[in-house]
Amino acid sequence: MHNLTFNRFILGCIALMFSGCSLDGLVKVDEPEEGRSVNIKDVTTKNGALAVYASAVAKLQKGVSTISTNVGMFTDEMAIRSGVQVGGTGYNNGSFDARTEVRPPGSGLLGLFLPEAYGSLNSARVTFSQLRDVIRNFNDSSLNYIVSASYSLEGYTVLILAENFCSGIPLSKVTFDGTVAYEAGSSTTNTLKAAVSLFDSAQMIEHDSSRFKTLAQIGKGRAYLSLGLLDSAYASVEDVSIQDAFYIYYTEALYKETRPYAFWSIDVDLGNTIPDEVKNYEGVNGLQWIGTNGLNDPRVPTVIQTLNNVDVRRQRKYTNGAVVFPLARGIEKKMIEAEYWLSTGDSRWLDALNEARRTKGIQDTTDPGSIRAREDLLFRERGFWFYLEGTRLADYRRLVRQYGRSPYEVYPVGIYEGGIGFDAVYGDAFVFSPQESPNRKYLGCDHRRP
Amino acid sequence: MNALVFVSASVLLLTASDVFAQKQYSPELNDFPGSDALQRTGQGAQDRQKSGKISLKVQDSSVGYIVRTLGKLSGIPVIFNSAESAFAKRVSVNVANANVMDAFKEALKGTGLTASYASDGRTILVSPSVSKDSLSNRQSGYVKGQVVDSASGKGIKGVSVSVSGASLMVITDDKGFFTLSDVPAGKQLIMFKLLGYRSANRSVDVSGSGTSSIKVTLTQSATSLNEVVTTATGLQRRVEVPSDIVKIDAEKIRQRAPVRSVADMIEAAQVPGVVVTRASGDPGAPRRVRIRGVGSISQSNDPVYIVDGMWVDESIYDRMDPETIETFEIIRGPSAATLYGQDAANGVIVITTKKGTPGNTRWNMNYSRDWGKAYGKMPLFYEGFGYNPITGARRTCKIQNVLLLECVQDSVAIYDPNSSMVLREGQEQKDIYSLSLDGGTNAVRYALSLNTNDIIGVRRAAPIDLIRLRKWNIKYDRDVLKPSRLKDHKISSNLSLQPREGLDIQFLVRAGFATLVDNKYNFSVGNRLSLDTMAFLSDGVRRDIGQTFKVRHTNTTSFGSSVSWRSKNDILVKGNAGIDQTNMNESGSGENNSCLGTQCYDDLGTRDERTSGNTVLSLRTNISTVLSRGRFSRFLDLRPTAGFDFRSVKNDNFAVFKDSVPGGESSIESGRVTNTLGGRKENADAGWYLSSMIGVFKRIYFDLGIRQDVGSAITSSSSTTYPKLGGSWLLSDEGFWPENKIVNLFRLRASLGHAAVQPDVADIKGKYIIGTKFIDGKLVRSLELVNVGNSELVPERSVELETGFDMYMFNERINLIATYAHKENKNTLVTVQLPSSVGKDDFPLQRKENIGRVENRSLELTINSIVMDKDWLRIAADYSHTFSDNTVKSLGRGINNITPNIAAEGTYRDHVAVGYPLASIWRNTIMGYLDENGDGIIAPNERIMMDSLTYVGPSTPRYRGSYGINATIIGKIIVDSRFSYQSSHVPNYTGQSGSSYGEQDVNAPLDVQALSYGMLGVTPISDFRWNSASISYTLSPRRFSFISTRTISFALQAANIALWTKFVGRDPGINTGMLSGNEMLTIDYGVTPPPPRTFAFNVRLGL
Repeated sequence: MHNLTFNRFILGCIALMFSGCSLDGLVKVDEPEEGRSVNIKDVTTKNGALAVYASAVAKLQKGVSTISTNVGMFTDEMAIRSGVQVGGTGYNNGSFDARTEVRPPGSGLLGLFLPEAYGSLNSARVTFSQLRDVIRNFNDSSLNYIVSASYSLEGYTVLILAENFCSGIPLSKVTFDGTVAYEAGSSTTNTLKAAVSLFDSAQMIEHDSSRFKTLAQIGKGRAYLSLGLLDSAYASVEDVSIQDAFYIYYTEALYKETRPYAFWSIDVDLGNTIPDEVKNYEGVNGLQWIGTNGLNDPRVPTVIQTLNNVDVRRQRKYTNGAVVFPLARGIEKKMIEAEYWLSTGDSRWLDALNEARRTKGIQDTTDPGSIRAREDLLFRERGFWFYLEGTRLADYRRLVRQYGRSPYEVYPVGIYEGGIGFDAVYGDAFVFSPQESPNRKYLGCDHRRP
Repeated sequence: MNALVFVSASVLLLTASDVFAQKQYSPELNDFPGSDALQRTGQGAQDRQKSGKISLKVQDSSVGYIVRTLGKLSGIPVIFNSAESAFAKRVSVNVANANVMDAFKEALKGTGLTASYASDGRTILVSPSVSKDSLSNRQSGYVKGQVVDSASGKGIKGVSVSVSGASLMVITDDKGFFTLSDVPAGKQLIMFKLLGYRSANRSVDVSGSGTSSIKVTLTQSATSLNEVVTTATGLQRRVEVPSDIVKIDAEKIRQRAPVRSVADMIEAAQVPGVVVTRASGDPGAPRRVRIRGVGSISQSNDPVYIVDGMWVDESIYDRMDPETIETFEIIRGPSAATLYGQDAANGVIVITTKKGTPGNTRWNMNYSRDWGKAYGKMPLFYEGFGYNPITGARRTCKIQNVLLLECVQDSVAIYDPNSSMVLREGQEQKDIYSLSLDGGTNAVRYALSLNTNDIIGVRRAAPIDLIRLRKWNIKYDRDVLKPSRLKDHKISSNLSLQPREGLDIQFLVRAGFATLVDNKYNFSVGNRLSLDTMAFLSDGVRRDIGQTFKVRHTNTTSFGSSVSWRSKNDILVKGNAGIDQTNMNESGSGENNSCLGTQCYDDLGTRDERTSGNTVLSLRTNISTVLSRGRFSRFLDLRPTAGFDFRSVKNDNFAVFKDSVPGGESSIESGRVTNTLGGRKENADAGWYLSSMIGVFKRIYFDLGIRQDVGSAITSSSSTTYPKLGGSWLLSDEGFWPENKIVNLFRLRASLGHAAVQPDVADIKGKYIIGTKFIDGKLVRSLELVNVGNSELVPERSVELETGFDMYMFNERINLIATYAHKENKNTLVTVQLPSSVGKDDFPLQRKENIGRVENRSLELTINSIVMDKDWLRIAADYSHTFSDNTVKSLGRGINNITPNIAAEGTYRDHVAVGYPLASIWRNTIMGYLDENGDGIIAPNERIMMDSLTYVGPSTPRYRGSYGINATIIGKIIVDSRFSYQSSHVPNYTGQSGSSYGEQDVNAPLDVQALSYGMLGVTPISDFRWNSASISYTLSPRRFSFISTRTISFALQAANIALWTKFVGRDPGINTGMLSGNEMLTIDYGVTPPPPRTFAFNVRLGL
């Protein structure tokens, strides 16, 4: 009898054991964790989608802020003043490969910017894509403009990456519910084509905002420009009005969050001693940004300040966080037109430049005569129009690749005032430590596939 | 799903009820040592009864029945072993008017049994007979006899009886009888051993043709191996448990040190393998308990806390009245903790509270007052001040600011905590009042305890800062002179019912109400760096400032109930249910200081409640059941057990509750923000287990078990199974163990166990953050993915092999307990940063993967000794030592190290590297420097730094030792003193980064300036601490008969008395990093108050 009783006891235990599978319901929780976990299914309203959109745009804001700062310092837009510590990292290098693309990272102040820009732009790119994941969960035609915008803005992130970083950019994806899809490095050409494709997608969606239409058209034109397809670029911007614009708004109160590396925030953070001096002929090949007798072109506003008993000419395009950042402007249409017509020998190229100048009340310029001089003028105008807007490096690259200029004629060369050689210190490849880069498909910069 | 669970529970209960319904008692088979078998067979026989006449006629009955009946008829105690097969024979007996022995002989004819009077002449022994033929030609004989308890006189079951020098050994039966056969003829030493009794030896002359009979009396001894300890399956004797479970008598701890919290108690116990660190010496400062090192890189390393069977919040040790604790047990590592379920990999602390004692109501009153003062060498600190050359605004002014032309120094104020800090003026003070009562009957017992604390901290405003503020004409609040203060009140009650034998019902209610006024000084060392930001902000505009303080009200309530029923044949059914709830409300003050400008408002202009108020609700529920049955025989003990438990935890706004997670993160529901304050955490897990203790020959015990868990993060489809097995061998009870006077008892033990630390649900499903962004000219809510989930995660698995021995020597005056544990945390969750190509905003996207492996090894040694044992003086000394080693074995996929953020040069960092301890300190080392421009200042680019981090050492102690001595004089005066030693590495600040001379003073020597970036002050340290000393005196009650006192005692106690170390920084026992990081030390800058030196006066009055 005892054995029987005991056996039943054991059987009962075993029955309990096999009922373990029924415990799932017992341990299920409604709110996953820490209040910060949500499932994609939870984001089922327009507000949810808009929240994702806001997040993506903020990442783009940060990305373009940072890239414009980087490009400004890497090119002749900004000069590094004597005595300023720049963390042992300059921006220019004797290696042509290194000059034709930004190759982060490095150590020190400037070296930190490039990974930030790269990360922010990719983060924006991925989040815009995630936004469309979210919107697919419900049908709301009022969100078409957001879908269109997401394509356009993602296109811009891809375009900026292609313009400024070395060939071999992996356009990996992460869905909003967290599935990671790694991609192999994409050549610069293919990256630009991807941007074009995104702009096309944006234009195919009906929406009610001309701002987003302008964004897609100009973005597409800019991508074609980098691809060297001037006719396509011209066609892309044909409908754009010179008055159209798409700005990124900031607010000074948020500057630390959204633009930690923007020019004005650097001014504040570093106690007005940042390397933001504007100089003529910076690095030998630089433009003459400041006119005779210190006269300013309205497109490149500067001011002289005395710091530590030294007069310094500082940029005043961005003076505080309330200044908007132009991502796309109708003026760019005029630049594309000018370049296209110049390439076709059409004399309207100068008209386009002057039409643009007149919007700022600037006196017309004249034809310098030679083809090379005309190209120089065109790129000078581009430099002035898009001063500190993160396009100058892309222009350098186009001058080398599309116009056959020697890098030594384009990039800054020589010695900074501070004694750091342009050629001396920069040159690390874009390398991540393994845990930072589990993406096995990405093999780094690919100079054989521009 | 839930229905199925109830079905499961029903199966359990039905099975149990079936067992009860069919239980049968068998008096002869009552196997407990010291059973009352003698009484059942007619104790109290008289000599006259021997000659009395009895008659018996029985047909076809068992011999056992007949023997028992004859005993009853004769009135003479009869001892026999009914387990012998001969007693089951069925025979017929017909005796009439025969004397007792003749009646027995008649009845036993042909049964192979024989009856004889025992040596006391008052008891009849019935045992198997030995044929004369078998004896005639032998050179060996029989030794028969009985072993009885000295106190009760009853036979003792399970005594090991062996012949010295021969491999002969038997175990006594239910009534203490034994028969040794083939004992070599001659004089033999027979040894008698049973755990819980003092061993005995008897010399016996064995004849080659006969039987020698002896009766041996054993005296009980209080060996700790016989002590009952708590395991997941219930109470077990220590000898049956193959792991080293440390059980601490709370009263002894209270006697020897001023114990104001459970953490104090654990710290004062100085258990090998257990490290208690504290965030600061401030009142209410959090503690951290680590058992046998750390194994988890990203998950909690906290142990699990169980109070009277209830699973409670890990911060229980600061929320519970330590006066109510009876014992606490520390179960170290998975080898013992497997069955406690998920998260038990880091050990379990089991607390048992006091229960009422039957009798009249007993009142106990306790008053204690502590005085404390911080001490210790503190590093010098410098604070450079100056002005902005452009705006003229005042500001702090480091050398770096001078280099960047942001600042011109005009003063360098030496900040010396020894003279300038609060500690000069500050003095901790504690008042503790405690009142408890208990009493009741055997059926109803009650205990009630009230406790109130009032603790005033040591930190006050630094005089030097006050001087500065006056000099600069900045107004400040007079409240700056107030230190932090903690007031808490606790009430605990315990009601125990025993409506019938074997049935125990217990109800527990515990509540605590604490108010912490946590004062911070914007311009003092408590928040030293704020002098710049608070007094001048970045715009250099002067602001009047005041004291910031935070008031935190914490209400905790716990309800628990348990029912246990144990049948006479040792079936145990036990159930526990409990709710542990914490409600914390926090409000801050100082709108004019801590919330200057926009800091108190979020981007939407909403007041940021993080600084003005918080409510935290933590709710834990748990239910557990245990069903076990013990089966015992002379040779085999068996206790199979089945158990089930369920636990859930809900934390609202837990981020603030933890004091470490930044606020502002919240959840959304359908795109709508529902909680902008903090976070919510909800988790549940459940599991069942089967286990069994198997004891063989009362000296070898096996412990086998298996557990299966599911949880919110782990479903049944990927449920986890954890085995445990172990063995405990009382080697000294073996027959072959040589008789010696040195080692009285020796036990070998080894155990292997698996346990888990589960991932968070968010690790599987991903994490998202709600924020605000400025889009298209207006602020809107944003939502973004920050952590990518990983659906393939499994819990971390901790595998521990523990082995050791217990050796009791010199009549148990010296006990040596040694344990070696090897613990490996497999599938360790590592946070992997995804490449920037998938996005990296402020932080890279990341997710967790089961790719790590961490190894812990520890050697724990404890020696307890009684140095002197006289009536008037008893001196005991103890020593314990721990060696612990921790190594990261793998981070997966060829990852060699994890450095979360690229920190500035010269700082030490959270750095996890393969081949090095998980909790370790690394630094950037400076190789050299050169003042190239000759400006007398070493700029960062004038130094040459190593391009990689250099390992300095572990941040947790590798060696720890503790020493204690305790003397009891004339049974009334107890003197106790404790010391400890440890070795570790901690950051050192003198001349280094932070507010150091080299960083702040442009006139500092160049080498000191250069070093200020290098954080070279991470140094190995060792310290020797005089932890506590106490003297207590218990007065004779008759001296106070006029107030009917039961007991009255006085005690003087001191804690943290002295510290000897060459380390010049803050107290190395402080680890401010425990608040934010996992195990890393963080730079403290010397502002954290060390634990104060405390003196306490304590009066205890029992009525």
